[in-house]
Amino acid sequence: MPVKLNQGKVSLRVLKEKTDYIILGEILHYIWENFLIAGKDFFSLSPDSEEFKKKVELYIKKALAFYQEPLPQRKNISEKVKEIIEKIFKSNEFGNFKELIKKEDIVAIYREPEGFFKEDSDFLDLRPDIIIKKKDEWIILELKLHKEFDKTQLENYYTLLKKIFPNDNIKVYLISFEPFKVELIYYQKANVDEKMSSYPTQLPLFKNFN
Amino acid sequence: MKRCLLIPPSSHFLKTLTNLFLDKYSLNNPNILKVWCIFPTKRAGLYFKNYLKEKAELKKIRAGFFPKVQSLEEFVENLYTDLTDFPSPQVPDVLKVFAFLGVLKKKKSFF
Repeated sequence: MPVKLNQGKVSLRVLKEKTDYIILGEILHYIWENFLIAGKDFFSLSPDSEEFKKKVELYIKKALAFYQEPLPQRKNISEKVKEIIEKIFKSNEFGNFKELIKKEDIVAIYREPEGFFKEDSDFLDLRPDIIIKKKDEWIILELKLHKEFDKTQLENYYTLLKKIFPNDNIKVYLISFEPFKVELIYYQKANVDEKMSSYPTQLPLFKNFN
Repeated sequence: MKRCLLIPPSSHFLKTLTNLFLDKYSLNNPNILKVWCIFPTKRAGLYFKNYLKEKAELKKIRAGFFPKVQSLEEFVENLYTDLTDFPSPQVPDVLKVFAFLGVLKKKKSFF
């Protein structure tokens, strides 16, 4: 009598396999982070220049090196990434992004920083994509391939910085690659009154006794 | 500056390390993000982060940052990809270590 196997369909997510869209998103993510932390101002390069094309090629190779063979769609993904990046550099929205990351204002860029905050009795672990420290504000950048996703993720990142730096300017931006869009989702304005105590040498311990 | 600390085998390694780490760094200072902690396994790094959270609770810290915690395998892989111009996914881990050693050799001041 033949053996009959009844095996249910297992989703790719359970098997931890990645779809082409996930890989594409991860690669764009890696490249964008490297562009941001690159010493030279990469974002001012023309998308038609040789230097731009070489750099993009290099970072695509580096990003793809994280994926083990067999990955037959390697060439297609590489072409798609190039196409998306060129489109981004030629888009009108790209000017807004360049304004956001003006080198002279930036004090530090933290790539995939890990943080936590306590909500009720549980600790929430978080890892925003990029945190930029500017002279007068903190900026969180969340990179996504498409615009649709769960917004609570951004709310948690915002809460994290709000709890650590309650008196600072905090902005949370969502950056979607396809189509390219820079969107301000949360914004906290610095509490200037709180920052400047009534007497500059006053100890914080006594500030509530005024 | 002390570059090497000896943790006696009689004490709990990760808990002692957590205490030593928090003597020097504060979880709510963003400078902690520039510190890299490399552990032999992912599991050790995960436990280290849990002990950091336990300590944060004791110190009444409700939000903070972690240092960059990686396993040795992740560290070597990231370093190999970042430092090599044409990294290949086919290169075995042992060879990736050479890229890491090459960098250390160039930056002797590291030692």
